[in-house]
Amino acid sequence: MDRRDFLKTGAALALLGAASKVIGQVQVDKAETAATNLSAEGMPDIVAVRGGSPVDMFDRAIAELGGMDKFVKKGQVVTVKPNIAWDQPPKMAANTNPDLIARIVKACFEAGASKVQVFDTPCNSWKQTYKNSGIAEAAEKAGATVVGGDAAKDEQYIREYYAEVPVPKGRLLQKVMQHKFIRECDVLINVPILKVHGGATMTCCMKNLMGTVSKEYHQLFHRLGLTRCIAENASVRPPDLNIVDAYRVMTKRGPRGVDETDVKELGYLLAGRDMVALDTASAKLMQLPIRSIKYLEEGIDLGLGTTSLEALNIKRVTL
Amino acid sequence: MKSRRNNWRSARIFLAVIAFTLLLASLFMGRRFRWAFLTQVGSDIPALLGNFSIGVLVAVIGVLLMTLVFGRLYCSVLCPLGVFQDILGHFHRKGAFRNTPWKRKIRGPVFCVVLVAALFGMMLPLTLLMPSANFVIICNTVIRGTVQWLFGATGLLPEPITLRPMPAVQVTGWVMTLGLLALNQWRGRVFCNTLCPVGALLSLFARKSYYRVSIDQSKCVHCGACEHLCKAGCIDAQAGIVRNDECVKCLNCLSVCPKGALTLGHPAKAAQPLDANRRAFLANGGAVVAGAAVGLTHKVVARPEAEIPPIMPPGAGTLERFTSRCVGCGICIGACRGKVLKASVTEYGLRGFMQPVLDPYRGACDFNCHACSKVCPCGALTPLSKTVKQTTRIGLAHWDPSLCVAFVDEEACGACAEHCPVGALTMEEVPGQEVRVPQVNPSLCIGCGACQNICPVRPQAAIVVHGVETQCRVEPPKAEESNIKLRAEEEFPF
Repeated sequence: MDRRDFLKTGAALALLGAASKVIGQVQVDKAETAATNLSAEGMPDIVAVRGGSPVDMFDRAIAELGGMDKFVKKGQVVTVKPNIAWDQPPKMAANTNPDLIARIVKACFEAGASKVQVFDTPCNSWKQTYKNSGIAEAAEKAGATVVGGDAAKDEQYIREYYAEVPVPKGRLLQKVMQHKFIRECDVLINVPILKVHGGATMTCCMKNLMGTVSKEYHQLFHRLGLTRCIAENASVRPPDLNIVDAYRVMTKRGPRGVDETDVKELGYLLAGRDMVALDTASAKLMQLPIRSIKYLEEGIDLGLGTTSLEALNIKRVTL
Repeated sequence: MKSRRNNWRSARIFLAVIAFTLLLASLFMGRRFRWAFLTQVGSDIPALLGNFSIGVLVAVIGVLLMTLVFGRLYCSVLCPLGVFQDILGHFHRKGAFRNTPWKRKIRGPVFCVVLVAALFGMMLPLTLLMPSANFVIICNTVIRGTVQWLFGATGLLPEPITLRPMPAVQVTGWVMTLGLLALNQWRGRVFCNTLCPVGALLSLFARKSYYRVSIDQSKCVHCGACEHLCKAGCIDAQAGIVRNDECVKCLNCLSVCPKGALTLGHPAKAAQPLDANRRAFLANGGAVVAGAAVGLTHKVVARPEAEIPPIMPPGAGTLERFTSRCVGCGICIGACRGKVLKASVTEYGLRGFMQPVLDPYRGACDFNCHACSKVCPCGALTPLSKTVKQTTRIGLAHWDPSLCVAFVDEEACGACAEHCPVGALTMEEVPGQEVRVPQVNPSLCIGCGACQNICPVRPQAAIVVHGVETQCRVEPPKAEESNIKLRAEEEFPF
């Protein structure tokens, strides 16, 4: 590839990214969500913060994005979707930082949210996972409504909370069993933790949304083709805001982790609207080749965002 | 018939309600109430042989002392199956029982058969007759199933409580319940005085107990009111005798006697003599031989040696040790957090019917849970600490590339590696394959079944766990340094 080709490809990608962004915005079309106007107002697409505690970094990031009231309007119902997948303590960095979740919940209430809902579809026993991750307690203390259940065997819970929704852009998936908190919310805030991942190479924003479907669909995704399904599922209800917890990250034997040697303190937090761009930036933080994370290409294909970070307005802050 | 209230009887009922509630709590609320099951001598005695502990010894001695003082009060207060029968018998038309001497001829031989067979390693007769085991089996099948069926749709249950037993196990539970109900309607506590091994054992100690129910011959008019009421069939109203070895100390008779001739106390008269005649001796001797024969049949009805061993719960030790010690009650199945345990049908051979086995298609052994080994009342599972359990191999994962999504369809999957709690399963690049495929490190695998459970390939998973004949410790995974050097110092690599 010579320089001309490189420039051409870059330009084409940037164009594609911009186009897909526009398409994405038109399709989401949430008038009350001010996030759509961010670029127009000269707000950054991505805010990357380093050098502070997760809570401090979040406060700074959300301030750079114009404050939580840019995303949450008075009386709205907000769903915060952390990663609560594994029965591991916070020090293992297998689940999102509980303090960060508590802070986000509080920020939503401060912005006037009428209700903040928190849930995940854990891989391990849900009760133990909610408890040992520390997230259920932290979120409840902050005033959030937390629900959980056995999304594999508890038919009652599945009937009550999961329902089929169509996947308009789906090629492999026609429908998914989606959680009530995703279907019934005005604002969706996706709060993944950054980890390496045995199947998908890396888990961050797009992969975290796999926790919005029932366990039956987790297995189905793996059977049909994991990378494509991750992207198709993420396209059903793109989050209004993504906050990537990259303070402590799992650098091997992820996503569950075996012992503390799997965990490194990276000290970052990223925030923004574009899932694909945030995942791309996260992959760079983890020094993973972008091409090894196949769902990023699928994300571009579905118009979820762009991997060309140079085309975006990135605000870099060191605390 | 007028029945006056009797304080002794009220006290018995009060104690029975407390004990029954605690036992139910130990079955449904997990480990918090597991001490309640220590009261069950039926499982304590095998526990003394399997996993000796002072607590169990004290419990056994306590029950035997109680029997020496109060007779078989155990059967009316501590035995859950006894209380369960009393609840069932509550609807019985009163006054229709009679003294049944023939049951004496059955009790001894049955006890000998069950005991000797168990000593020879054939636990099935004990599984089917031991009251605490029967009660847990009834709970795990009939009670859980019925409650789920009645209240499942109402949202009153916080979680499903059914254990999804195999059809053969479900049928066994119903046969036990309905059989017990039928026996109860026919002759009251006839099970307790014929088939029950705990009842037979305690009857040996109860014969000469300090407190007994006795009939004051000077007041008795031989009306038969007590005999007809006695569910244990131990009163002979004509002769004016109460058989103390058969009396379960329900004390219902005290308030039924119109003359007040029945009293609970320490009678001056000696206890009735042991009916040790030649016929009984021969019957019991024959039963010992029969028990040995039954015990030896396990060699015949055992599972074929060549087969892959079933996955035993952690703490089972070896297959032979476990199958010859487990009474198949299924407390561990109720306590299983990963919902991976089920009552076996033929996995251990017919000999091990009802003994717990892991089925990774149902769930996965929760890495942080060691409840089964902690709740086992009979010492078949050695209690393991969490760390020991996490490094105890109960099986080994085997990968079949011909079924694997990643290998055949070349689709990135990795579900198995994701769920492996010990890092024994990793996704590795192999020449000629576009996507990474699973690789099992057998030196780390503990056989929890998380991989098989999550594998998207069905009906047969591409990765299956085989049981091991002997459970052993694996090397705890070595702490190694991360090979990815993160440049946290370098600012913003994008």
